[in-house]
Amino acid sequence: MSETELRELIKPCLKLAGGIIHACHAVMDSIGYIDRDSKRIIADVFNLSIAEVSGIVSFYHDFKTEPQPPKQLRICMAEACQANQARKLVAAIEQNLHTKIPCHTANGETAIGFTYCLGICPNGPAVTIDGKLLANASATEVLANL
Amino acid sequence: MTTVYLSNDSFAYANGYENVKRACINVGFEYVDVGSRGLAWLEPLIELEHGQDRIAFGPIAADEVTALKEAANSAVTLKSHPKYIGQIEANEFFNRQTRLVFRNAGIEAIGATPTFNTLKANLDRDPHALIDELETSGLRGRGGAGFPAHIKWRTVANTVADQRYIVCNADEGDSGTFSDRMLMEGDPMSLLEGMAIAGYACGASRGYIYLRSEYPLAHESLNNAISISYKNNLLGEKIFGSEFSFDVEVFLGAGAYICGEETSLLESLEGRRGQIRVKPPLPAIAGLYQKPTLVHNVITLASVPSLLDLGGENYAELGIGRSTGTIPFQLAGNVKHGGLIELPFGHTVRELIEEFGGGTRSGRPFRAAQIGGPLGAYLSDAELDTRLTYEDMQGIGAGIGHGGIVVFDETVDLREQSEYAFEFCEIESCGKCTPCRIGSVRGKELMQRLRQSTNKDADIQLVKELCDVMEHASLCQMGGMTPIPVRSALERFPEDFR
Ligand SMILES: Cc1cc2nc3c(=O)[nH]c(=O)nc-3n(C[C@H](O)[C@H](O)[C@H](O)COP(=O)(O)O)c2cc1C
Ligand code: SF4
Ligand code: FES
Repeated sequence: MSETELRELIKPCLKLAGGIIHACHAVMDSIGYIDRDSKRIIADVFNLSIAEVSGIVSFYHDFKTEPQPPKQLRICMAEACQANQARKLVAAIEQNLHTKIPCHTANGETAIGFTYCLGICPNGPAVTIDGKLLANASATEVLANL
Repeated sequence: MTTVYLSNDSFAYANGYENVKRACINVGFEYVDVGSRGLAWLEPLIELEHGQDRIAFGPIAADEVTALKEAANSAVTLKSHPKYIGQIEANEFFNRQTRLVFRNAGIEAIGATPTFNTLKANLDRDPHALIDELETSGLRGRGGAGFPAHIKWRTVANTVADQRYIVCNADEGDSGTFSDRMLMEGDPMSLLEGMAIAGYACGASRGYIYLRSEYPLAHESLNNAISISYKNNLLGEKIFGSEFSFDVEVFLGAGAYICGEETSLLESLEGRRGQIRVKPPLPAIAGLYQKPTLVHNVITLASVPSLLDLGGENYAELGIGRSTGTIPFQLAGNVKHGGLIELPFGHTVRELIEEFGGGTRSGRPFRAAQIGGPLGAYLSDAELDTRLTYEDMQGIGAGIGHGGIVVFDETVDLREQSEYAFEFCEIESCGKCTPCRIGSVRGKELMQRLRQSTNKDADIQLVKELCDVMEHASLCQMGGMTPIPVRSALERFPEDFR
């Protein structure tokens, strides 16, 4: 995406409350991460310093500053899912992949990370695969989706 | 043509809704998307129109839809379908509830043309009379702290300003809670109507819904409901031809539990890091852009239409003492029948877990329940007969919070849960004050050390001192309440720390 296109993308956010957060979402949605160049442009559009933009980007878990793998697996590790053996699910996946979560799979295709409550707490362990919710997740099912 | 009502709540999505929907289309059912009835273990739930009744089946799989179609013409064959549930209104999980906030969810088609009848009926009332009625009802905030709603409304209404705001807190970060999500997905109109009524009563013309990014379906549903409401002049300029105008927009959070705390939320909504503001001033006096701002949880605001329809006095009849009305409890974790249970205050924790929940899902013995989210206390069997009121829960050092109840069986290790409580605080701390930012890390380390510590007594003593510091010296309840799960675990399950 060119600088001009990026500016056009985030300009409408100027009118909105908390526009800079809208702008960061827009950059995440279209580029996948917010690098230094994007921060510079956001800073310029919103009349802030790059440091201020960095401060905002680093505060929120959703905003990434590095390119992300095409697929995202997020495992809920909050209490209700723990009660339904989310820790065992994580251990089984880690054992199969020979690595510790959070991580990227060896082929670089999938980022695996934790999340804290997806709102389907009686149906845990809950995971999302590319944003799609899966209830009562088993290691076999999750691994088959990687 | 047979009509079926299909739950398209997140519960249903997570359990195969899309395949079921496709199957419904393939067999020629006329399907209507509705919210969830709250019986989470039966999702995806499908209700088939049969004469005057709706017969439920669940959890329905895509390959069971054809049999449903074949059986659809006879009540006898319907009963023999393997997933036959019968009428939801007759189901004992459902028929013992008092549904007020959730009176529409799962029944009306989502996004059906809204009426906002309650707003309409109250638009010629004096705003102060409306607030008086709220006071009579005794409604308290459902976001966690249980603060009387009318005090906030009156403060916002009486603070002189050129602009006031209504902010709906839809950040629902507590583990084990999903009532906000269910309401926004299944009955977003009640929330919008509640916000508009609050706007009218407080003299605010603008509302924001601060929604957590983990809820994409709620996002879609809210945006859809907002656009339908504008089209029908239920939002926007001169609503119902009156002088009252009200606008609502959704603001999407970006993954931060702390942004559920109201001042952090306002910082975020203004486009900054979600760091806590020092109180005072209260948001009701100087909130969003330093203007008087009514910040309420989704359920508090969505309670308003049904409360006004019922009347403040009748609402106050429900519940016990100063815990009036109904609250949608959310039963989750290791429980056989989890889901949404709206009840008047005053039932015991045991009734919810055993009578509604049917015990643990694993079949192993019950060991602990955490009430009120990650900052809530762990209870053992000995406390389960406590009544669910703000006062009774406070009496045992616990709180109702946002109404989440998470059940654990005997496999739970409370040392591990305490380690997690500190870890969660570490991950989600806004970083503004030291007791929380550093204390959470030290607490986690201590809990890890306790696994094979050579001097457990001294380490436990240290944890207790750390809890004292965090409780008394933290700027907000994130650091201030993290000691609650830890202390309750230490006190009620000491053997797990040995
Ligand atoms: C760490 C922390 C997280 C919170 N998260 C939420 C939340 O997700 N949703 C919510 O409604 N209130 C949350 N609250 C409570 C809010 O600060 C505030 O009390 C509430 O939104 C007021 O609404 P009510 O009067 O309807 O309860 C949280 C508080 C703290 C300290
Ligand atoms: S207690 Fe934690 S979350 Fe609250 S202000 Fe202090 S550092 Fe921030
Ligand atoms: S705790 Fe995992 S979905 Fe709520």
